[in-house]
Amino acid sequence: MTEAALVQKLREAEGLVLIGKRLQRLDALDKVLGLPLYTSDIVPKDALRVKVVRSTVPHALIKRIDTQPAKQMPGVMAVLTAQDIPGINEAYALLPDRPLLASAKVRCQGEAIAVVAASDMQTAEEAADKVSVEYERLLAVFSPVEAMKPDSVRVHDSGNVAKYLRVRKGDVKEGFRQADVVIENTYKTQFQDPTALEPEVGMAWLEKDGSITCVGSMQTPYYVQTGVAKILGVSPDKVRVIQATTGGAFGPKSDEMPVDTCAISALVAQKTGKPAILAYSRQESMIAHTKRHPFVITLKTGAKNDGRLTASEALVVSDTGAYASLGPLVIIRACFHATGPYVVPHVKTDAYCMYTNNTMAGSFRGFGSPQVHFAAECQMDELAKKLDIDPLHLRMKNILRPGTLTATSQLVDEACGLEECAARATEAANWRAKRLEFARDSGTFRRGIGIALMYHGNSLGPEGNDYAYVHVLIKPDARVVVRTALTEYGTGAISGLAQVAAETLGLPIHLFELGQPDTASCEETGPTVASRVIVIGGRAAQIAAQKLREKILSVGGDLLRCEPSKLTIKDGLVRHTSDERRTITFQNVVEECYKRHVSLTETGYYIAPKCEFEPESSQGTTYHQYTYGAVVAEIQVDTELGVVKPLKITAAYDVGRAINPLSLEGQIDGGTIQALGYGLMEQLIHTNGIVVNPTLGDYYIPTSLDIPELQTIIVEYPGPVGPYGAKAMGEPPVDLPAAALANAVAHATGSRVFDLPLTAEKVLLGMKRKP
Amino acid sequence: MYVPVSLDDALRYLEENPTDTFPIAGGTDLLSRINRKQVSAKNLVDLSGLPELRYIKRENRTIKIGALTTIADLEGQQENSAWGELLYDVAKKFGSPNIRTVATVGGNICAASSSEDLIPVFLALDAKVRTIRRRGPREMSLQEFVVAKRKTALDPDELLAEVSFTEPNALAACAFEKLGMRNTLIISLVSVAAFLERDQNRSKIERARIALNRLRGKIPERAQSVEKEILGQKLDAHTIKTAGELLEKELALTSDYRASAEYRCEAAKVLLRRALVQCQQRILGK
Amino acid sequence: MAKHLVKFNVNGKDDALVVESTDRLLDILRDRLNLKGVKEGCGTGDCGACTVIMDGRLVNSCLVLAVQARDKRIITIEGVGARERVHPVQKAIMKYNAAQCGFCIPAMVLAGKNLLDHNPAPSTEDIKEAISGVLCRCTGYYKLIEAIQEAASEVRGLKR
Repeated sequence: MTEAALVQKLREAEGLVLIGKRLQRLDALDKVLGLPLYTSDIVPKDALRVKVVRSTVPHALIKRIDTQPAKQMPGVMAVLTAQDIPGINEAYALLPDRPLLASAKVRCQGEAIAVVAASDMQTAEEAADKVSVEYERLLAVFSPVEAMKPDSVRVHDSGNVAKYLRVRKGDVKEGFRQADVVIENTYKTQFQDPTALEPEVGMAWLEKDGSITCVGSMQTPYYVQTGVAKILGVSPDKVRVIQATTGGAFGPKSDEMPVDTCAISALVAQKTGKPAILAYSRQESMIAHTKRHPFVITLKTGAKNDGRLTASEALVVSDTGAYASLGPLVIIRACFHATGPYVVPHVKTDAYCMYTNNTMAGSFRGFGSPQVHFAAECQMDELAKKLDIDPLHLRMKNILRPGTLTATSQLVDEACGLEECAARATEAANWRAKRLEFARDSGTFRRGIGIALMYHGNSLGPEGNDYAYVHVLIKPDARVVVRTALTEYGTGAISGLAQVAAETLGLPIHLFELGQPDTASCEETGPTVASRVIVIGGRAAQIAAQKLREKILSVGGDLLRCEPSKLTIKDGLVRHTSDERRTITFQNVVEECYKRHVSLTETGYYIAPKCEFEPESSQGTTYHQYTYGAVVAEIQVDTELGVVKPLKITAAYDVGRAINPLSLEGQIDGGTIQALGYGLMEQLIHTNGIVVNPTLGDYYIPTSLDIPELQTIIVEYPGPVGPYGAKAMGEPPVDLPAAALANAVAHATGSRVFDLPLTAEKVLLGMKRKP
Repeated sequence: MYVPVSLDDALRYLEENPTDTFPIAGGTDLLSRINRKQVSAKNLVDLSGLPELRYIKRENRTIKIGALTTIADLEGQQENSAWGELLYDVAKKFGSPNIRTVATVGGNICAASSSEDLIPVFLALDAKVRTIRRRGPREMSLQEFVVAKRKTALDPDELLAEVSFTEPNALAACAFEKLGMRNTLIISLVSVAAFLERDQNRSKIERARIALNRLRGKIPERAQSVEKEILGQKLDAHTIKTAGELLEKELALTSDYRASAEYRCEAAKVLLRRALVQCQQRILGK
Repeated sequence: MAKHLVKFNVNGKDDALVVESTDRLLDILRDRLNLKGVKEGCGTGDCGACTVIMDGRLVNSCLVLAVQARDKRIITIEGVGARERVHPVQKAIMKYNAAQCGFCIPAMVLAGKNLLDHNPAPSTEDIKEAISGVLCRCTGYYKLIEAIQEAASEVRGLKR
């Protein structure tokens, strides 16, 4: 029996119809016809175009802003600065450290200082050029390690530490005493740009009643509502926010930028009475929006000769740039996962999120996990080399298994498929044989094979209240609408919610439609981040759908004169489970419900239990379930040029339950390549705080000609939280490829590159340095 | 923007409007720079519709390529010869398919920077350029034409009309090597074009031309010291290795955020060796 | 600012517009002809989201001035397939859920269609090459390539 057939059989045994099926997304047809309307596609004819005047220096006092020459230009309808903000001049994701418009000081390149609105973009740009800003430059700090020094330049008055936390488990001194070998290394990672194909854009207009409507490219409409209301000085119920079709997000569109674009547009709309749109240019986007945090991670690891880990000491430092954004939460995830997915009896991790005068870092798919896994997994290979043990064997000796404890002393439950992931990925990649075969390569081109393992705490964990609201309603024509303020931006997760609802209701998927995320009709539901749509939103969708199912069966039971418990819904029919003649169409039951004024709109609410852990030592339950994974990378190094050519990636993930394997593969495909870019070619470079390559011609993401062969293996160990045991899979695919590639390169060349990306220059220099 | 009805009309317009006038063909370089505010789009002259300058032809033993020949035209030509292969090689690695449709030979050469792959390639072919203007045409070597970064020898009333080179004979072969941060749509970190011609006895190097995207400055140049040293030498591994070592002496590269001078130098040596080996194999294969 | 009368054929329909010198083809298609399927991702010819087919070849419409598109035949996503009858490339992209955020999809469909119009039996390398001028951040390209490969089979089947 093929694997697919086996999966089908298991599903049927469970009575599942849609879960696990490779269903087409609900928005597929519209997308291939080019029909979805993104924000820039629905601009009202009379909308003003907005251009932002941004800081050109990384750290300075603002002495003077002269907007007069701009104001006087014909066609210019408004020129705004901080003093024109009627509400509170604040636009921050977490810590109250950031204004919408700078007035006294700028702390990084690209800070918004003034806003010009004109009837057309060219006029707005010309007028913006005429706004002059006089700076008094200040000394600046551009390295997070420098920023930790007591005599460092202060980015904020409160100091440079945006967040500090630690893990203390056991006693590392004792752990290192027990060790036969101890190794210590420092690893560095770079700024990665999200590079969503659609740059940031937000639009706003005044309604007749004076309220504001905002439409934009975003992940979290309610963050925008709160942020815009505060800036405008109105109550949130006077601000309606609608997410337009969003062309990629990856995290940063849940941070400050959507608030910026919508609030600035709203200010202009409020001031002029006309609609206004702020669409970033790509260059502006790459400078201003949040990026992946660069990290400097020093790991000291102790182990016995047989490979058992005894101690891990880590100093984890992130560069969050001039404003914290979600840096304080990224550092938490990084801190908790810094050891990698291993049993380590003694752990000491100190993690700092540092301010610098670089541009902002914030949310980005993976959220600290790719960075610490790069360090932890390179370290495991270095340890393997020191101990002369095969890297897979070393890992298998130490991996988390059911019944073991994580670095935060959380007991690993039965839903841990890490071992199977490692076994199946290495088997499929032919690990053992290739380790030996590639080591025999000589000549110019040498191949290497490397492995990396991970665990990824699901959803928000310690980051906040983890809840969701999903509305499901059945229309008179028996079509079903799933509506929520959780958002779609490429993941297919919202279609996944419909799939879960459809399974619960026993209905075919073609009856389902997705509503638009709109604060006017969708309950506030927390952010669409942390890969939590299926896990948390899915539970809420199930609850809503279950309530509807009960109503349908109740009315159906009435019509068929039997107990609702004797009825089932299948293939568009409500039928008696043992008497086939007692059947009625779903449509008929719906009509009857409407006749009887039985409401067919239900809201499902689900909140995950709180994560409880000791704040000083971080010991306790940090996440309620974990996704696990193993990635094997095969590469070829051109030893004369240092160029790394990726040959094949084999990725195995314990996904809990694959709701839609087709969409899931899409997430793994995309995440793997995004991480490939992170590992081999992407680096947003600041020189003295100025981004030197803010264009797609000079910042390289992978093209279709850069991709290796990819084999994906899905493993299912159902978790306790998500519907049918589903685990988070939006982010985990970016955690490991860079680490696996680094280990493969080290295998091929015999020398290690300790920082990302693995450019040809670094690889070549590394080989030359080798004794 | 002025849309000329003929080549002559274009030249007349340029003569009458010498300041701030930019001829535009494919626009892949110019429009990008206008978008980044590096150049203002005040007076453009659209050459894209002039068929007179779009050709690849052979006249006696000279290959002539019109300035408005697109990179896609170069990719599409089926010349099974040393120069045909070379131009196909460089075209295949040029930008992306979308760019190749409209980017032109003339546009690339007149952009005059180390990012323009055609310049080292035509230098290796010892190409000449012909310019036209109402007061009469001029001819000069490509080296003379590319004066400095973003500066050619063109007068304001002048257009680049044609690039030409002597057709390499059966004893010659060419190769092109390029290195960037990914496999396509890149700014070349290092690119090398090589031309080798062996003597009648098949053993020694009769002619050698080696051009790099950067040698000592910011524009492509020929590595003439290396060329001189390998002339008359045997076409073998030893000579090729020596060429690489000699190149190091001729290089004066600078570091920037993309790569260090040391790495560029190392990569240049490797790419030169590989280009020469390819030439050698192509010669021996004949 | 000079104005020009430009005639062209868009999606099979002859049209004539008065345009400015600096109008890009991208702007004309989106703002004057309301063809919103053509997207702007970078404005510098690096991302390919603005791809259209012009006289049978792919171009970045952000790098073509409207004036330069005179007398050309242009095809945008709006000229490919319809709800009731999608093009094989569109059908296959749907089947594989190869469209995620959708922003690159109009360009990818055009690249796929144009490839198959010229070469109904492309290798995987041919397909990768054909779409190499369009960046995608969501899919990793795998399912797009698979989709175009399947569409090729269907196109060949239809031709027989």
